[in-house]
Amino acid sequence: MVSNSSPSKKDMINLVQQYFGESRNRHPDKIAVSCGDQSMTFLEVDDTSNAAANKLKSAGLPCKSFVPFFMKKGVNSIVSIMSILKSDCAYVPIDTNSPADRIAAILKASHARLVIVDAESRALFESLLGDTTDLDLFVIDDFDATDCAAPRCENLSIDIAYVLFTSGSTGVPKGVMIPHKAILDYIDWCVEEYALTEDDVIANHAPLYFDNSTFDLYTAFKTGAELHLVDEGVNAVIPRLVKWLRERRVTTFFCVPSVLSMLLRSRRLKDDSFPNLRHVICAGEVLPPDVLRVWMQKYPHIQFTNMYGPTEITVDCSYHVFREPPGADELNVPIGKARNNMELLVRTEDGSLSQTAGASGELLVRGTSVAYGYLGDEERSKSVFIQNPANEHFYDPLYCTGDLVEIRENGDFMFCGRADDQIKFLGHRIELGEIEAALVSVDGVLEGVVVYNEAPNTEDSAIGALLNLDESVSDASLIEALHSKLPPYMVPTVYVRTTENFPQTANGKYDRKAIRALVFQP
Amino acid sequence: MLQENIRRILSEHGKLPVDVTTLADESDLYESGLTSLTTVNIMLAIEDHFDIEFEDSMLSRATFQSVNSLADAIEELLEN
Repeated sequence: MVSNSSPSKKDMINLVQQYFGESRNRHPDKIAVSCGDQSMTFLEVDDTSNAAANKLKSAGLPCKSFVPFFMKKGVNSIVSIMSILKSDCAYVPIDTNSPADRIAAILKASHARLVIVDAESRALFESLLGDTTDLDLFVIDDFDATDCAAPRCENLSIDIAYVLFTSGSTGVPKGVMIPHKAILDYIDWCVEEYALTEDDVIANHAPLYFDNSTFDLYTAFKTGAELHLVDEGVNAVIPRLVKWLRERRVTTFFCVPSVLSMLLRSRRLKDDSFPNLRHVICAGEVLPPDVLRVWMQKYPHIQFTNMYGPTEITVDCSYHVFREPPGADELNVPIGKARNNMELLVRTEDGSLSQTAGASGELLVRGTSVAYGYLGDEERSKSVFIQNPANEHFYDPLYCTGDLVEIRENGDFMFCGRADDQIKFLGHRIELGEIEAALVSVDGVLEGVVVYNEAPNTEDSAIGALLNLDESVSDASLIEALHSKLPPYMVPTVYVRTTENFPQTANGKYDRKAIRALVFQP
Repeated sequence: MLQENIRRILSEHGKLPVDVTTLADESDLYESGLTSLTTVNIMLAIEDHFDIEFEDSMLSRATFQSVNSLADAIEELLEN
């Protein structure tokens, strides 16, 4: 690669795609990414994404645009991400299983003028949104790649690398804006903490619209390790992962804890199932101690970590590496202590901020990787990204997580639940309010409250709804209407009808505890 | 009949938000609400009921896609 930069400047990494460029320079012909039976070398990804970025720039795509990409997970997704970054733009992953209305809301919030698709996903996009949008489509695996020279990047590390949309309690998804510097800080720490090198093989299980995938992509790009994407076919049947992880010689597996639970139940785990695996890192939902204990006893050669963090602070702000399996009497495992460059604070009942053992309340997070807020939603941003009251001299944002925690004697933070109606279901972060908003917008729904029943066994957990429905509405038509408004994992599976008043608390709010008992009565 | 047994297992373990008896043999179960979690439950229930073990190569979306694709897989395993 020709560079006009001075040697010292060349070593500075300010943008996440530069991780990839450095690895490409070290070993251009090594496999960078593999998915199903497709794979691409560092050189191939680099050349193709250079060509796509040059094309996009010359076609007039303005710098710092938010550019959605819509396709099933595959090598094309990685090329799309790199192409968007090299165009000095921020990428917006779209879940292809989302209904048209939700995708349209994300495209609108992103002010998107152009969407990247691949040849396979193009028809699906057009059938979902073809009539309603006048967007340009760029087909990432079918364009005339002429100019493969590296485009000149104008972005700074403070510019936005990606926007991830998460469930919003008012029915509209929230776009979390994450700058390059936040990812760089997180990834540099991860690579150091886990001593990852180009000899590692890193799996990507999380969907790319879920920020757990940030760990997988960028630790691989930085170190030059092979990145293996779990395709939808394998992911549909989780027990298949046992053989997949072995076949692919995966060393580092970042997943939601429910995957570990499902693998345990699958009857496929053998003592020698994972000869190559060094690290299993869990994040995204509560890690059950019973599940962890069995895994640790079965696989003493694997190091297990529980990581914690909402999308708004860039994947993870705290972690706990387990030195021994949790005891049989432990009901909860720690989310641990803050990672490098991040700080955890507890807002106690009297409103003060504390870091002392015994403190309990809402967790607030500050540090290098705090997001810029929600795209186009200043009001909501202001309500949860607040100025650090202990610092009146410079801009110092704290993110209010809504997660309730307490600090143990040894300084470990423990997760104790939510301050609101947000739930974690199979790793998905869901606002029950978003489901309710969809529910009451269906014709014939007079009243509806959505509740979540979290069971110790993930398999028994479910989302349900108490409904007052017009008699003309059948269950089937209601469910069909919900599927047109919500991603599949958000559609309730238990419905209870009533024509009576919904249970209320003394101050006139819905009594969600009583409603949950009604919906999920044994 | 195989298809009926599969339907019964689907209705007991599939947690599908639709009536399983109204599903066509070729209907896409994932589009009808089958998830990665319920797929594991279906897999285990079928293995128990038919006393079979799905081969690794069968553990894919294609196998669990419909009542018919499940029936094909089960028949193949029962024959061997």
